[in-house]
Parts: sequence; structure tokens; C-alpha cells
Amino acid sequence: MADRLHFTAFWPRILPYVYVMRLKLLVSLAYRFDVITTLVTNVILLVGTVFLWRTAYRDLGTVAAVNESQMITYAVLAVALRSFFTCNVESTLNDRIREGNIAMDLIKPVHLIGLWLSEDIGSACSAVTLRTVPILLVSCLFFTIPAPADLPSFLLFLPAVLLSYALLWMLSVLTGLMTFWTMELGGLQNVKGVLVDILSGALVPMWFFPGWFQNIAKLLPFQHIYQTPLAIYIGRISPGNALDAIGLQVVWSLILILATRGLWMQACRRTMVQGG
Amino acid sequence: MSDFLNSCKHYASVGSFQGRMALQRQLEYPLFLVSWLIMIPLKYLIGVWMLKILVDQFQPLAGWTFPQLAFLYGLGMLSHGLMVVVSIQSWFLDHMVIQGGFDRMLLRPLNVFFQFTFMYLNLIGCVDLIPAVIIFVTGCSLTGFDWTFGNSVGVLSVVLGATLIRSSFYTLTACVAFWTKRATHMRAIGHDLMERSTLYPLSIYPKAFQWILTFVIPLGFISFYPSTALLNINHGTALPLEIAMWTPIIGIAMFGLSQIVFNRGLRAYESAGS
Repeated sequence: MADRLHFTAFWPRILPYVYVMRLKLLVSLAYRFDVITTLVTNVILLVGTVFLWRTAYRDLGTVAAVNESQMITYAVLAVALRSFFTCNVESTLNDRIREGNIAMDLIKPVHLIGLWLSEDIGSACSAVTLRTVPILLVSCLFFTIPAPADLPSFLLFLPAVLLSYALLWMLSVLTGLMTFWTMELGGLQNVKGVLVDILSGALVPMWFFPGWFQNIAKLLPFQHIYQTPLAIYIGRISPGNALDAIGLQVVWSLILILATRGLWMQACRRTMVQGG
Repeated sequence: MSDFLNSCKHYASVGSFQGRMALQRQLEYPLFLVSWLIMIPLKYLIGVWMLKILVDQFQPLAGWTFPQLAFLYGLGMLSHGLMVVVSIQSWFLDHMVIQGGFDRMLLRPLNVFFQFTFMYLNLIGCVDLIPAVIIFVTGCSLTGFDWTFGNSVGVLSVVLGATLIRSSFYTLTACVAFWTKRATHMRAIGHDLMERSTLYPLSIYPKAFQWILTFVIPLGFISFYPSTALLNINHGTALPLEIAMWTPIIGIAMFGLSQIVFNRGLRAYESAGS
């Protein structure tokens, strides 16, 4: 009898914990669900792009010095790179500043930009296994094995990709830092997104665009984000010229590092003023 | 009968009040409006420009010339723009599930699906209609589209029907959140699938995909099939031209389906937020 009483009192008390446990379980399940759905999004993007290029190349040989199989490799890898280039820093900055949490962040004994970078690199690492590898597998199974032009091209592609990510990430920080002045990122984030989409060669490489547009794009850092490493990979930029291209990436990275540093210092000063 | 009329009147007045409130809220943030006003049109105009580059550099896309592609793209954009104006809340359904946003609605003596459907009028969405109109008008004039009475009615019914298809499709995908509590990426899937199947001709895809996008997820009726019928393009489609204009019928069917699934989902709703 005593036992039963004990039990009936025990159960209602534990019920909320069971509920929370179940909720946690659901959340983790939901995250797994997220993994699948994100993958599906990427596959849709992949399928759409591949068939668009296949249709464009139908019965045509080489256009702008690139043949169909090169272009499809380019397109597949563009989707693959997009899937792991994580730049949450923009939204992080937007949220932290809007909600005033940035004040607490600044007290922490770490360099904030470094902290955010490590966060994004962490996410990028998981994205490689959860998205990039499956995308490449799908491509190998259904479309094409995205092979490099040759070994030197592949070896040069690797540092170029790292620099690409650095460039893209710093553009995100620069955009995100604007929140210190605008208090809301909405529109600016989109401006950056559209500029990167068009000028980086992520969707259509610059060599298909009219000459005047290519000349403008050459003066900007965007095309070094996707086009440079991918053009090296498929051999559109020969290994001999690749070093020049990578050199340009380095120069742009340095410029953006300086810009980020300058803007960050300005922003910190501004926050001090706001804090009173 | 008079009961029915009275309740219709009641619903209409609640709907219009909610619309007015939504508009007033958004006019509080003019800068936000302006930034969208520049970006959205730019994004889609560049999208159609890229199609022109593809056609110029390569060849007509699966037999579709640039004027025809612009017509298709514009027609697809029109219903996209309208959907963003009247039905953007379907993008936030998952958020409402997690935050317990339906609690308020469940307390009111009004149909919840109605409240949800007429919850918001998105003024910023009009920005999406600007490139839509520009591209569609360009497409019409480039293809020499004949604005006869029949054609005008056809375009109007297609745009309205396609808006229903789009909203219902977003609602359906977001309803997953009632059970899983998350649907952000479901929305992304829906969005990408619609962009890929409404802004480009379906005939660039293999037959199996076309079949799915016609009979399983009927997104082909948003712009592809109507464009083939309106422009009399007859290569690479399996569907007879008479069925091609069935967009409104399919829209109404999908709207009904989304209401059924929504109501089922609402039973699983546990107001997690509070």
C-alpha cells in the first residue's frame, strides 16, 4: 500500500521531465529531418542546374572554350561548394546586435571574429559530410564523375578553394558588421547575396557574359569566390595561369582582411558610445 | 440562409480589418520597403537576362526562344508575386507552431484556417510583382501575344489558379511542422522546386520528372502548360492543349487538400510555445 502511494506521487512529478525529454527527442529528430530536407534542396538545385546546361549544350560542342562535360563538372562542383561554404556570421551579428547581446559578447575574453569564424568552420565541417559528400555521390551515380582536368589542376584547386571561402566569409562579416549602423540587415544581406550570385560565377560563369560585363566583374572580388577555383579545376585556367589567379585571390583576401579590421574597430567604438 | 449570409458578412469584415492592420504595420518601416524595392526586381530581371545570355550563347532552350522563355518566366512570376502578397504566412506556419501562435486563433469563434489564410497582407510582396509585370509585358510584346478576350480571361484565370497552387503547396509543406515542429527546410524545398519548375520550361527535364511535376506535384500548371497553350508551342509536352489550361481547377483542388491537411495538423498542435 505504501509502495503504491509512493508510486502515484512519483509519476506526476516525473511527467514534466518525460515531456521535456520527449520534446528534446523530437527536436533532435527534427534536426535529422533538417539534414534530409537540406540535402533534398541541394539535390533539386543540382538536378536543375545539370539539366539546364545539358539542354543548353544539346548538339553543341565547345562554347567559350568549355565543352559540355567540363561545364557540368563546373556546375556540380559549384553546388557542392555552395553546400559547405557556411557563413552564418551575418545572421549571428544581426541577431546579437539587434537583441543587444553583443554587449555581453564583447566582455568575453575571446576575439569575437575568431569565435564566429570557428563556429562557421565547425558548421562547414559537418556540412561537408552531411551535404557535400552526398551531393557528389548523387552526381557520380546519376550524372557524371566530376573529375579534374589533371593532377596539377586539382592540387592548385585546393588552396584556391580555401581562399574562396576566406573571401566569401569576409564579405559576410563586412555585411554583418553593417548592422552596427543600420540595426537591421534584411535588405543589405540580400544585396550581398544577389551580387555574389551573379558576379561570382556560381550560376553562370563570367565567360558567357557580354564583354563589358566581364570587364566590370574583373575589377571586383566576387568572381574569385566560385569561378577562380572551378575554372582551375576544369582546366579553363591552365595550371600556368592558375598561380596568377590564386595571387589575385590572396591580394583580395588581404584587402578584405584590412577592411574587416578597420570596420570592426569602428564598430567597437560605436558600441562603446551606445553603451554610454 | 440568412444565417449563412450573416456569417459570410462577418467573415468578410474580419478579413478586411486584418488586411488593413497588416498594411498599417508595414508602413512603419519605409526603409525596409525601399531596400526590397531595389533588390527583388534586380534579382529577377538579372535572372531573365541570364536566360537571354544562355539562348544567345547557345541555342533556344529545348526549342523555346528567348521571347517565349520571357513569357513563361513572366507568367510564373505573376502568380509568385500575388502569392507573396496574399499568402506569405504559409512561410511562417512552422514558426507559429513552435511559438504557440495558433493559441490566439483557437480561442476565437472563427474558423482557424480562415484566420490563418487571411491573417496577413504583405505589402512588400508588391515588389515581386514589379519585375513580374515588366518581364511578362516584355514577353507578351516579343512573342506578339494576341490580347483577345479569350486570351485575357485565360491569363487571368491561370494567374489566379497558379496563386492558389503556390499558396496551397507552401501550406502543405509547412504543415509538416505540426508533427515535426520544424519546416524551414521544407519551405526551401518547396521554393526551389517551384523556381526550377516554373521559370524554365519543364521540357528540359527527363520525362519521368515532367510526369511527377504534372500528376504528383502539379507545379507544371503554374506556368509551363498554360504557356504552351497560350503560345501554341507544341514540342516536347505529353499533355493535350485542352488540359493545359486547367490551372484554376487544380488550384482549387490543392486549396481544398491544404485545408484538410491543415485541419488534421491542427489536431496534433500542442501549443509548444506556452
